[in-house]
Amino acid sequence: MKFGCADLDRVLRDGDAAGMAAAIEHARSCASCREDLAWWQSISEQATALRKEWDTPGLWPRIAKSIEAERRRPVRSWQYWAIAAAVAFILMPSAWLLLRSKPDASRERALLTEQALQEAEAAETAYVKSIDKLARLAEQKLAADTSPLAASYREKLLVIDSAINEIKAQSGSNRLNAHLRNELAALYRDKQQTLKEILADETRRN
Amino acid sequence: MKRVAISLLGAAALAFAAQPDVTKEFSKNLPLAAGQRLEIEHSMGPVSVRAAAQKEVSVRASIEVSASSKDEAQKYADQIEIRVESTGSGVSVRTTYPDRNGFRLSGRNTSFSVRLDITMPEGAGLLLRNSFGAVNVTGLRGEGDIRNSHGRLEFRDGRGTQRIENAFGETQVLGNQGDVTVSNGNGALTVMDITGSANVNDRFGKVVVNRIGKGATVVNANGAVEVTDTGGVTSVTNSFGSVTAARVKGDLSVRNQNGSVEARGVTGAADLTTSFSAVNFSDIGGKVTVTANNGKIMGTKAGGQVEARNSFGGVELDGVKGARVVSGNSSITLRDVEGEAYAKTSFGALRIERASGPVTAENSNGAIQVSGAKGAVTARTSFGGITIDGYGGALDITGGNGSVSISGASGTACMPVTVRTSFGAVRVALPASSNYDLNARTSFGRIQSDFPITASGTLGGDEINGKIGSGGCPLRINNTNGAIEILKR
Repeated sequence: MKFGCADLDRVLRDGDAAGMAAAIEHARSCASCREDLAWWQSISEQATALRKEWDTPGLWPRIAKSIEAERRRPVRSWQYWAIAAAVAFILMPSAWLLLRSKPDASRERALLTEQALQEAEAAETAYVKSIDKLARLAEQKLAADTSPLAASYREKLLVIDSAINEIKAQSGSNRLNAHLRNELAALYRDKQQTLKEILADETRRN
Repeated sequence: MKRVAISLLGAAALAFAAQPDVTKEFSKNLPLAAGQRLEIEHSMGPVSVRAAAQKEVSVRASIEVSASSKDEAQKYADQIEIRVESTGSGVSVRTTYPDRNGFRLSGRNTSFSVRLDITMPEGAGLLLRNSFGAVNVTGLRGEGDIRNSHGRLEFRDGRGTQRIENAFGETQVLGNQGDVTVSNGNGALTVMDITGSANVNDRFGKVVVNRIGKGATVVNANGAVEVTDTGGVTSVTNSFGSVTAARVKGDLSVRNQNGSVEARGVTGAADLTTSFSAVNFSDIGGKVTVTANNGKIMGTKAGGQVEARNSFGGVELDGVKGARVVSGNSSITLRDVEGEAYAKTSFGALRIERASGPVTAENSNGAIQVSGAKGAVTARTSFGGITIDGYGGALDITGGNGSVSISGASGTACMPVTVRTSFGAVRVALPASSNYDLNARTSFGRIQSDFPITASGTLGGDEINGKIGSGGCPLRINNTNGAIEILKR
């Protein structure tokens, strides 16, 4: 079977060796998958180094992909036909409503569907739990460290947390706004990267 | 077949699970005279501004609302206001959203976004404030003051003085004929192809500054900085990130705290400072001043003198025009120094090869090796040997607890030699045609000479005075607890 970008999430989720080998081979010629894979691997390595359990390393790719796919994926014609057919069979009178609300595939959607949001939120919850674990480890290190670098990292984490709260406050009253959801994911990713740097720096110094 | 049926049902269910969306389009055109300004205040959506050869501002807005019911979505969309008005200073575009508290909706289920696509006269100024959305500005020919937060910001192909600010989003300024001031609170920053000067400020992101016609000033706190191809004085301040500066037409100043510094191809002087990390420089046209506490210093090809100071990292300089190096607890190696070489360290080896000017080498608890020197050599150490192989002027050697070996005098002129040491042998190899007035003294060691010595004055068991050849040039060797050998080369 030819491996495609769409298969990457499945492989990261299932973790089968053959699939992973195919993903690595595919990533050699695909920058987008290479980036996702590198991200996943760095998380896995970090988790191994810390000898802590890592919830699901592929969570971030799943969050990002579910949002991105929702925004960018042009709805294929067969899907319209399938929807139309199903509606025709099941609820004919409502068919016109469905067709009128057909999304414009030529432009990125600014708002997510409820289902995409639920998927993103579910993945995000697990992702945040993982970050919280890292944060607890990093905070212990930072609390005992009086160096200027530690002070800088503390400041950066405060800035990121403040921005996360700001975005959360906005997205609380604008839940389906895709930009806010993306920004939140980017901030979580930034926070995770910062926590990894703190722990890596600590490891280096030891 | 069963699978297809399930898919159909699933697709239908999914479609009905989605919230009703309403999209609403808005457009308005207003004239904007030359010298006036467009002011945009927006949030919750992207803003795209394109400047073109036209005399009016064209505003297109796409309003997207999702709510529990289509009716609610429509009501909310209808209350989102895009105000496009002429003002005394130009044209104002402002997006206002209904007060969520005052708007009777099942609020939690209402979501919205407004996209602004604006074209404007290219010579007009722009004041843009946005939040929670991306900003894209292209072709602006007037003065710009652009601020965004929580979104990507991209500025392209501008002309004039531009002030661009972002927070929590990647920022790219790609092309401007004029000066730019760019800052980012927490995100990557790229500034490229600026004909004027660039003043760049970031806190927690990677900064890339490339192809700046005039000088560049970059301040960052916790992120890497790369500055290349600047046309004037360039200054970089950073902490906790690496700094790379290359191809600078002018002087370069780098102040870093906990990150490496690399400087290449600077036509003027370079002043480079960091700590706990290395400094590496090459091809500097003028004077180089380097300080790297707890970090290594490596440099090649400097057109001016190099003044380097560090500790615990070692210093290696190659092909510099004069060197003055002070280090501690680390080694120093200087090669091909055109001019004077001064090096001082402790607890590390000190080596100077091929210096064309006078050499001064001071060490504590470490050896000194000087080779291929064209001028005078002064060397002092304790607890280490001293080896001089090649010199072209007077020698003043002070050792302690180590041997001293001298050879390779170049030329026939008088080159006075003074050696003081203890607890080590002294071996001096002189050309066969040498003429020296010898005074050699030691205790607990013997004095041996390949040259016939015409003795004169004091002649005891531990001291000899006399002439080598016809004399006339001082050769003083004072040792305690070590032999003295004067060898014919």
